Amino acid sequence: VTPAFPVPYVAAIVDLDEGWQMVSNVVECPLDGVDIGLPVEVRFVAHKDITVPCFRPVRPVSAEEQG
Amino acid sequence: MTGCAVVGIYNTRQARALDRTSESLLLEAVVGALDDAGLRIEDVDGVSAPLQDHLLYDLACGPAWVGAKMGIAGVMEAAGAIATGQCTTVVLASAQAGQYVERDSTAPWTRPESEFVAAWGLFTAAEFALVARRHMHRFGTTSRQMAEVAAIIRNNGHVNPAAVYYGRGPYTADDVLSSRIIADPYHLLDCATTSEGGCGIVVTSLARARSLRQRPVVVLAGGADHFGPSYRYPPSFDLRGRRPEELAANGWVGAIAGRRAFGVAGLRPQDVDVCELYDSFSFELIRQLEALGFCPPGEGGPWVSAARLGPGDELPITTDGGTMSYSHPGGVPNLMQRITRAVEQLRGTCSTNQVAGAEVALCTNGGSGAMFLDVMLLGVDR
Repeated sequence: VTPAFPVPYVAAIVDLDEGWQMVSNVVECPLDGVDIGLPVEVRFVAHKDITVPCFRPVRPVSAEEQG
Repeated sequence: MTGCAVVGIYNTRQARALDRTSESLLLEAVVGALDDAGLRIEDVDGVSAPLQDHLLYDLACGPAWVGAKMGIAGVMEAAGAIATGQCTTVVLASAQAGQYVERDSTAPWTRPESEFVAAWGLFTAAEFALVARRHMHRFGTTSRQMAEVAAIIRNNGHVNPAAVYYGRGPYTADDVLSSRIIADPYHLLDCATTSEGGCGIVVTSLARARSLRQRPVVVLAGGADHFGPSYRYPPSFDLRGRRPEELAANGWVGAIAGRRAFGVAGLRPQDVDVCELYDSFSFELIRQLEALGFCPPGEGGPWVSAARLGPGDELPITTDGGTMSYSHPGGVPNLMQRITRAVEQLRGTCSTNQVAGAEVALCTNGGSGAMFLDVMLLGVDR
C-alpha cells in the first residue's frame, strides 16, 4: 500500500452484469454500508496520473440504513 | 509411497534481523542439514536452492541434478528425481537476510505489482482478506473463530525458545481481536510476521536412509493445487475453472491435491497426528482444514472453536509457532520450515509441544490469498 491510498478504503471483487469479475474499490459509501451483494455502478475516479474505474452504490446508502 | 525419506534438517537462528548475509546463512543451512544426516558434501548429487541458484557452483559438487521448485514442491521434486534414478541424495536450502527491511509489514516480498490489482490498493493482507470475507458471508464464520486459531499458533511460539516471538504471549482471542485492523477482518495478530533465517533439508532414498544417523521420515505422498501466478489476479473464492469436481473452486484450493495425497498414502484425515499448516493468515488455517477434509466445507469456524487444535488436543497445528511467531523468512525458508517441524515431530525430538507418539504428519505451503496450496504427508518408517 502506498500513500496514494488513504485509509480506510474498500477493496472488492465486483461481479459485472456482462459476466466477468474485476477488482475495484467501492467509493461514495460509508464503510458500514458496504456489504457483499450490494448493487453498484461504475464511477471513474481520477488520480494524478491515471483514471481508474471504481464502483459506488446504485442507491445512496447510509450507515444507519445498513446497520 | 515415494520410496524417499527426509534424513537431515537444520534451521539457523531465526530473528527479526540477523547481522548476517543470506549467503552465509545458506551455507550454514547446507552444512547443518548434512551434519544432521551424518552425510558429507561429497555424498550430494542433487542441489535445490531455486532463489540462490549459485549454490551448486559455490559448493563445487557439480555435475549434479538441480531442482527448480521451492518448499514442499521442492521436496516432492527431489523425491521424484531420486525415484526416477536422476540422483540419489539432494540437499535443499534457502536463506534470507538483509533484503526485506520494510519491517512494519507482513511478507514484503509478496506485494502485487499487476496493474489489474495494484491500482485498487490490493496488498497481501487485503488479498487474503477477500477470501476470508467471502467465507464469513457464505458460512457465518466469525472474526473470533479466526482469532482463536491465531492465539493457538502464537502461544505455540510463545513457549518455543527458538521462535522469534518466544515469550511474547500468552495470547487470548481477545488480544487478537483488540490488536489494530490491518485489512478487515484481519487484525495485526491474525497476520504472519517478517523475519530472517535459513533452512536446510536432505532427502535420499528410503533404502539409503535406513543406514543413516537419523530415524528416517518417509515422504508418503504429496500434491499441488494451483490457480495461477501469485499476486497477479485476485483470489476469488467462487472462481472455477474447467474441472468438474465440486471442490475445484479457488476457495477450496488444496482439496484436490489433498485427496490425491491421502489416496496415494492410503490414509484418511483422521490418521494424521499433527498438522504443520502454513499459517500466513488466521482464516487460512480454517480454509485449509476444510479443503483437506478434516471437517466439512463451510463448518471450519465452529470446528476450530471446539478446542481441537492446541497442544495435547486431537489435532495439534503449527506446533512451533509458524510464520506468526516462530519465523517468516521469505524466499523460502518459510515454506521449508513446515517440513522441518513435521520431521522433528515424527522423530520425537521437539523440545516444546511434542505430539506424543506422532506417526503421520501433514504439512502445507500456501499463499497469495489462497491461489495455491501444496500438501505433503510424512510418516515414520514402519
